[in-house]
Amino acid sequence: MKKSLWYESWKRFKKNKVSLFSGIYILVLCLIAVLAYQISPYSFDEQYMELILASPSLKHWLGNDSLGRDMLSRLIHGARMSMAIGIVTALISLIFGTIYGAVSGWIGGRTDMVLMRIIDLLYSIPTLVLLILVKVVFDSLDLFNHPELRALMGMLMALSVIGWVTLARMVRGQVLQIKQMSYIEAARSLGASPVRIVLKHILPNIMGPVIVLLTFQIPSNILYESFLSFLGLGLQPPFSSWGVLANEGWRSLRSYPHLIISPGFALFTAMLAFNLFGDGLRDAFDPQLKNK
Amino acid sequence: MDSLSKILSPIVFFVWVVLLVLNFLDHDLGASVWYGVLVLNCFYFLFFALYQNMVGYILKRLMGSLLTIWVIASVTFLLLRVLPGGPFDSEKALPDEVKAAIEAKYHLNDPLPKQYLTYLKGLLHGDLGESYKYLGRSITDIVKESFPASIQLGVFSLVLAYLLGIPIGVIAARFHNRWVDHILMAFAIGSVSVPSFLVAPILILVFCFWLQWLEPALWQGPSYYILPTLVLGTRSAAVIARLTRASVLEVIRSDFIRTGRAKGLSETKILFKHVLRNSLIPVLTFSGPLVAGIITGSFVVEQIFAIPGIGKHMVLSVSNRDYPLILGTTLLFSVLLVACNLIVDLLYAVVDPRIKVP
Repeated sequence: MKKSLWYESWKRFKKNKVSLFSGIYILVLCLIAVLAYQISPYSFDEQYMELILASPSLKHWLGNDSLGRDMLSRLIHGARMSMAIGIVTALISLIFGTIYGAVSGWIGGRTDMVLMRIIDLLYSIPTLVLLILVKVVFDSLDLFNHPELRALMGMLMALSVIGWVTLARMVRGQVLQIKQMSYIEAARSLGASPVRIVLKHILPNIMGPVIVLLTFQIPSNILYESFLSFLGLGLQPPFSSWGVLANEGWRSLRSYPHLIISPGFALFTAMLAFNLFGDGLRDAFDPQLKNK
Repeated sequence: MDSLSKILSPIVFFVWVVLLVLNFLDHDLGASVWYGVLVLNCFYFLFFALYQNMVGYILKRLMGSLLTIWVIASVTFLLLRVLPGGPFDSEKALPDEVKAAIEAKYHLNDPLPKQYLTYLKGLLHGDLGESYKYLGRSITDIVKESFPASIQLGVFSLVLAYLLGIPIGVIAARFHNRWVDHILMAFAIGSVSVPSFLVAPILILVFCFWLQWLEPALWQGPSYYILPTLVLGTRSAAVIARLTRASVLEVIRSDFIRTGRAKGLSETKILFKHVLRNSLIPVLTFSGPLVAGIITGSFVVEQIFAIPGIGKHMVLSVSNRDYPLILGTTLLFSVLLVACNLIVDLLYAVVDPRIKVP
């Protein structure tokens, strides 16, 4: 029964060519990210002094930046950083959000109320403001000696803090709904422990919407990372992410448009692919939604 | 009573439209006009509150909002106060007298509970403390100076989002699964995906440098307002359009629409008179997250267009470790969002009288 549900979804998803293509594009991006060191033609921080701000050429396909570094290599390493941040933070929020939501929904009562008030509180601070705040706090804690590692970890922490809230809310709603079902009651009367019920009976049933939400979470995390880096509060050069590249590039738009066009375009296509992929997934998991 | 609301609602709406247009054309309206409008709006809500028996509900929500603000204010204060390292830590050690003078000035030597009380007392008087970086300037002054540009940008974008998003959503739903629908939705998903720092430079290049119609930076008149509003507003418009479309498609399948069709009403009349009003409720509930999104976007847009707004101050305050300013801006944005959520919840009851508030 369970298998056929996934199979049906896959069959529906396959029909949606746009989403399928987006999925393939995302896979290619992931591959690029993983193999960044192997496929990038140059090192991401090596300077070519005679090529400062050079336009695209045969040797440097996307030109060079203001310090003479090869843009294509920086873009590829930027993909590595952006994708890693997007996916890792989504996974952290997945784990924490699911546990939080499941506990809140399953226990209910006063615990639920307190846990939900905390979420309401986090919702009352605009996302970017909360991000900045968490990052300020984390950065001053000085947990890591290595400055680059500290910047990266601060980013991961900040994005994870904002990400889990939506997931927790959704999981709680689903758990509340499924809790009422008679098969849960049956499992309980057979003496199954709550942990077993949640893990074996509830979570598999809410995997669909959770996966869909996760697909939308990854691009929004990538976007927030690039916003922060663009504002100069995120990762710092020589680290390279799409936001860092955009930050370096947009000021010289009029004279050197290749510096902003390539990272902007990379981010745009990645966002588009994730959004289209997520739409397709949602339609595949919940066909009623599409027919409406 | 019902007819009174039918007269009152358009008046309030009309007043807001006039104010908005005047503001966009850069007329200086003066504070008294704004206070007058605010009072008018309070009366409007009071009228509905009495009418629909929801004074208790409003009071409860108001208390909840105040509590939220208090918790946010306290937690942020504690977080920023217990952080190791401060704005006055520099490579060169300060002379002891200077250090003592600074600490005395900002009450940094007081025990934490006393500092907290001083801070809360200040808050109640609308005093957010003094900046660490801009010596002698209070946070309240900085906010007063930079907030108008930010709120203008935000409101213009919000209005643009609704003006653009709702019609697009309705049209897309009307021509469901036809080429108009596909094109509009492709446009929508494109605008959701495109980062503002890609689209803004391109617009600046086209409209400011090539055509020379608009101004590329600062915030001094209508020709300065258009591009930032466009960049910030279209993204939200796309979200609204997708939401409206889904909502209209859902309402269009309900029984009372079928009845209308059976009665022989024209498709246009059904759409505008019966479908639209019912399908706007989910769109309205989304206003809270929408405002949050616009605040987020405004940081980047203010940076690109060099708008002297509050977002710029927040970004700078982080690099400067100007804790009172971080605290003040965080609090300000939270108050804004909480107030918006409150107003949306109240409007919710006004728009849909069927909804019984608890």
